Amino acid sequence: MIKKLNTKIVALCVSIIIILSLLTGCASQTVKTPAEPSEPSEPSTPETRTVVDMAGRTVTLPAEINSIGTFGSIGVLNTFVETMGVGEKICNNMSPRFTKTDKWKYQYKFAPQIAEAPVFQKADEEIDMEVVLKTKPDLCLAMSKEIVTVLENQGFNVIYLEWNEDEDVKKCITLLGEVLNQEDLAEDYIRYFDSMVAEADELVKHLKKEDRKKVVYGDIMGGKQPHVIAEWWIAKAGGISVTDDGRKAGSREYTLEDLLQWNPDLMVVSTASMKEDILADKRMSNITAVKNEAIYTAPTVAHTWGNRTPEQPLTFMWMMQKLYPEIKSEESLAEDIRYFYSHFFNYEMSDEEIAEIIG
Amino acid sequence: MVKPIGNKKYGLTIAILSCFIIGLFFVSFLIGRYSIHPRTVLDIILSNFIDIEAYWQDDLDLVVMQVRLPRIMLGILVGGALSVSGASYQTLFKNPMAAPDILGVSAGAGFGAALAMLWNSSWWQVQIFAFVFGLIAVTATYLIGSVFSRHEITVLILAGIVVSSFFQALLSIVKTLADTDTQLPSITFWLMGSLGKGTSESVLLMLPALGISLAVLFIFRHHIDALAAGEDVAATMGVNVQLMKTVTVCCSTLMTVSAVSICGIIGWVGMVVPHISRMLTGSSFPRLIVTSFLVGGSFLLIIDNVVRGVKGVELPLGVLTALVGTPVFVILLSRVKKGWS
Repeated sequence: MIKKLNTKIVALCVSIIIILSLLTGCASQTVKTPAEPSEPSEPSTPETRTVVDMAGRTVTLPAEINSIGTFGSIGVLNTFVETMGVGEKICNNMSPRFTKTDKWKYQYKFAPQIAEAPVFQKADEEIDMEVVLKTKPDLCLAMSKEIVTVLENQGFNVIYLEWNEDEDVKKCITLLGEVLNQEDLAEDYIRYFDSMVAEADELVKHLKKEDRKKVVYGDIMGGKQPHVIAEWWIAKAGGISVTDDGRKAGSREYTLEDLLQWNPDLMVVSTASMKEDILADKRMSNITAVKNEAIYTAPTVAHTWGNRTPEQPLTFMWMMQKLYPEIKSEESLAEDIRYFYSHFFNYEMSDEEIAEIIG
Repeated sequence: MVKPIGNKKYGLTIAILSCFIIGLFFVSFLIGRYSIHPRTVLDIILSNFIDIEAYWQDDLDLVVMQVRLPRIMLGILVGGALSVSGASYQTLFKNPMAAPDILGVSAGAGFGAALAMLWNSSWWQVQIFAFVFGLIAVTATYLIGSVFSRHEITVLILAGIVVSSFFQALLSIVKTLADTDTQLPSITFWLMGSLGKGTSESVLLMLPALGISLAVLFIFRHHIDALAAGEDVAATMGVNVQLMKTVTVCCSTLMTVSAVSICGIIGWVGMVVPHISRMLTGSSFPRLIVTSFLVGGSFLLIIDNVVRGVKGVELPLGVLTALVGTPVFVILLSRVKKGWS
């Protein structure tokens, strides 16, 4: 009797499990329906166009881009969009790794709407696909091929940007000009970039090699120069980067003894607290930059100036002002900053903001 | 069983190891980006005690006294501390696989330190957090092991894996919450292990914890040795088993966390070195404690010298100890296991 009852209970349980599984399957399908790959990329107007991105992919885009989602390197991607004067089209907030401190506060000044916008990536950088599907950006921007694949599989229009060589910023801007129908603005930026490079070259060309100051940039306590681009902007500012070994990509690690041997005249760190750590470290007390307290924090405005950013012309001018104030005055730098954000970002910098940026 | 050696041979082995570590101490000063003549190194060191007119650049004084000396000292102290800690755990738990990292102390201490860093705590708070969580981790491992089986080695190791995994999960949460520019690099330092940030203050901070722990373990060395024969046997010999267990765990944990809090997580030293030491001077704890300190100090100093000697890149110390420690352990295990079975 009990055996029979047990068999019935088991049969009942199995039936329930099967029914539940079927229901779950149906439910999943029901939920999935609005997330059909074709829907988010559905053009708002029948007119479309094709663009070839920096991975060589041909991407079909709607004629008009009204919303832009940025993924992965959100800081630099937002800066690209803002440089094109369309920061108001960014439709996502920054991911948690950018919002732990107020380092990125200018992003919320340049594109205030992002403060209330959904977050597309979780703390572990995983894409919250349901949020992206719900937001349906007309265009997604990414600098990682993995992210491109993930978004592409969901039917989104994704443009891949790449910045390997020193002046790849111009290629990125040209592509974005085409994507955002802002070709004139892209050409304008490139003219501005070239003119700033030419101006910097002109300003430092009379400096003798022995008068050029030695600079180290990055995580000095940890012995790491994180971005090869820093070798370029230090050289443009008339300085000698002690970590420049001619490499074309990647970071460079070094030891404390390397640093003591290089004896840099000036240090650029990524956080203000690192300056205090360096000054407190007796082992670095003989370094010229430490003796003279010539330690500066690389500004972060739209993006960290020391890393890859369209704000790079300001980076080398800022560096030049710190290295050779007799060549590049603070007033001249302030004007450069005011012009750049006014002209490209449509944002008028106050005197207090400029003073804070110059440091 | 590891063959016991006579007092004479033991004395000779210790003398050789002592000479080796002293020689290594001085040779280590010659490794680095600055090429310094041995005589200059000696004169720079002696100039701190006797009157010698400085004929060297100021830079060299700083390199020798502020950069290399603390790092070399830390290499010896951390290597010695982790090895003695491992030897104590192995004797107490009668387990050749026991080591500070296997029993979860390192993961617990690492989490404690990371938590303190997340709250922007000061240096001494970081150390206290590391110590408290290291102690919590090893206690949890021991309690879990005791609940399921008092004598089963495998259960204890499994308990250690469980506790380590738990604290590693907590550490991952802390890393997720940490600021990527300031806090995260500091936490990552724990996971890689390095003597590079060691200063003379670090050495002074570590010395009291290490000195007290070593002294206590040395005083009770015969009692702890009796525990290796079994708790019942030790009790009949008049050993206060519970007290000795507490003393051993506390001292070993204190040594481990004082090392971990300064140099991050350096794995495998605490597991491999006691086995090498046992092969040299036998399983007796009074001998093991001395041999482990000397061998462990030399082992870590040699590896750190390799780290410092590789031009261009400073390899993470914890990675190198694992790369060297794992194959050495496999070789040793096949020879030593008979001694534990």
